[in-house]
Amino acid sequence: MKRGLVVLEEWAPAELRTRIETLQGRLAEQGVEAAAIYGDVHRSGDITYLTNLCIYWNEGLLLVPARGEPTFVTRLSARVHPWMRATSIVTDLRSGPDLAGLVRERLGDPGPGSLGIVERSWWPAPLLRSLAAALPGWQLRDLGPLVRSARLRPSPRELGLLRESATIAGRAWRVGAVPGLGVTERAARVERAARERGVEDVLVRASDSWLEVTTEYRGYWAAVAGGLGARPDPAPLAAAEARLRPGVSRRDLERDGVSLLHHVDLETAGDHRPDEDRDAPLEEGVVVALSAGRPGERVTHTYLVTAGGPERLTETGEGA
Amino acid sequence: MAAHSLDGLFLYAAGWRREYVRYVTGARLGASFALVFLPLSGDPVALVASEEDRRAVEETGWVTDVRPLRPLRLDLPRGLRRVGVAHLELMPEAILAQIEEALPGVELTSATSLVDAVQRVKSPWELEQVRRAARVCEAGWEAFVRALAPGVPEYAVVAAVEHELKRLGAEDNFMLIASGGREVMGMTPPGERRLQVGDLVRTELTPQVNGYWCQICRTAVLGEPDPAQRRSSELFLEALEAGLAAVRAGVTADEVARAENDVFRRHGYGEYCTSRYTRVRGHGHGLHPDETPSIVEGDRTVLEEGSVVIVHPNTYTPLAGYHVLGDPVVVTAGGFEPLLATERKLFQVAP
Repeated sequence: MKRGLVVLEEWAPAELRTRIETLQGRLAEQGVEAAAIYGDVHRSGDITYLTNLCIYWNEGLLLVPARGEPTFVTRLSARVHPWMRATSIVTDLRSGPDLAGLVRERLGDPGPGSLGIVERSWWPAPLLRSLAAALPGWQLRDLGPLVRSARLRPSPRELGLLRESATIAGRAWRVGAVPGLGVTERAARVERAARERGVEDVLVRASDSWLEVTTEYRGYWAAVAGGLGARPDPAPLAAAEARLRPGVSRRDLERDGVSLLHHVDLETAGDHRPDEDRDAPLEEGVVVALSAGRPGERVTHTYLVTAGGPERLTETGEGA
Repeated sequence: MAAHSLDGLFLYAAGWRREYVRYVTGARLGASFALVFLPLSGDPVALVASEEDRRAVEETGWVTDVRPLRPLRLDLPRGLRRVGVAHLELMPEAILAQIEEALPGVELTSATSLVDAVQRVKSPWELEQVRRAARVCEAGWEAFVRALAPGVPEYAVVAAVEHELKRLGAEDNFMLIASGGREVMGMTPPGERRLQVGDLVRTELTPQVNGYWCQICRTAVLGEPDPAQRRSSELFLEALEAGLAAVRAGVTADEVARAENDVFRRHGYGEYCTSRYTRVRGHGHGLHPDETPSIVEGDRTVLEEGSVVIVHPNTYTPLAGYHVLGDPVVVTAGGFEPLLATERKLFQVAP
């Protein structure tokens, strides 16, 4: 659960505003008045990417108009607004139980228009119906994974955060992989090691012989997993690593018995991936996690994909 | 279900609201979606989104018919007319569309409040799990106090608590923190602020053990408390004890909240019991950390024997800023069973 350090870095506001402006450019191209992005405590990566907001509990919507400032509407109490203003670039925050009503209030009464719904399939259906009822005459147009697509290839600044997340994940893995520890002590050491380095979230799965660590650092996810003995990487992972280059697709790698997750999909282990992701060729500069093996035993590393081959970002030393 | 004219019931688990599916399957799930279909008579069917979740449900064995969520394949009984959906409010359009396609002509209606009501009263086995979580709660608070020292950043305090909770077997934890003086208006996730002598450091921490959550709210002072901090501590202790004194089977959530708030009103701090300064004066516990009822004035939900609630008069006052003090209890016929042995006081930490 997101209960680690939440901080707005000094450099972040300028970059976040650029991301908002880029999205606004896409909205203007598509002829929609605004985009709405849904998030909750389980999945909020798109909203964090655009604003640095942390939805540490409950749910909310980010409304990005084609022109002007974004608005966050949430079921969290208005008492958290000062903290959200201090840790994000959003200044217009609105709270209440009726999210659709808050959206209508924000849009005012400009007459019927078009509201872009980012990843409509994953929105709670009753909320969509409330929005339709609150905005009579408006078209609710599915924008698909518009924000996810923009997130796939990290900027240099983002790559730095991904590297740090991967470094923390690898270190925490090593702290937890000490032989002879019980399962709960193993998980405990990983939690402490990752959270003391300032992660916002860490997901740990451990057994007597295996450990998986997934970290979120400033909104950027990395994963590492492996057995606790000094075992070599399984052959499928080594083979997939050798093939991991721009142009290869997820389906290509799955034929070798390896799964691939973009860093943006680690938050929910790929549960929200669009179907077309499977055949999309990887671009140079994306960051992905490769896993080989069965659940509870798999070996995972996080990589930067370059034209010259993959750069492994997670290091575990002996073992995985 | 029969009393609500339901021919069947879907229990939906979103990534952050898995309590209904866990209630029926006993399984610790990890995927972002899961469903259980419970017919009016016959065996339930679990629909899961990952291989790990399939194994988790099969290992507990409470539900033996486990199928993939996508594509949805249900051999539903004929003649279904009205089916409830618990957590319908959170169900993605992609999943609801599959259900509607599988059940043409069937009325789907929210059953969230129905299942909430069923889950409010805990079985003896469930109460044992909550008591186990309470022991972890106590240890978590002790770890919190041990971690407090001048110069320590808030997030390092949380790291120390997480270490202890996980060491003791907690699956998860919901935790908020706030450090500082009278300017503190509420609690949030941790920041980089470093503790200073004279700070009040507040937390609510809520470990989850074998599915069940239990919460503790306490405040500590780094160094000697000043007179206003002492006065604040006395006020919140009086309010907590008044709220607890009102708890017994048959009273309403409103009565408990009113007992707490009357203490603030009597001392001239009534305005700080409003939503401008606080959310609720307590709430239920169980497979979700914030179950119904909400203990607020106006909530007429009757507390039932065997339910679990935390009473916490947490709010801001100008005395010493935001202050938290709360204890979870099991509601009994004549009062309550306290779940925590942790002292109800302002904890003092030598700098």
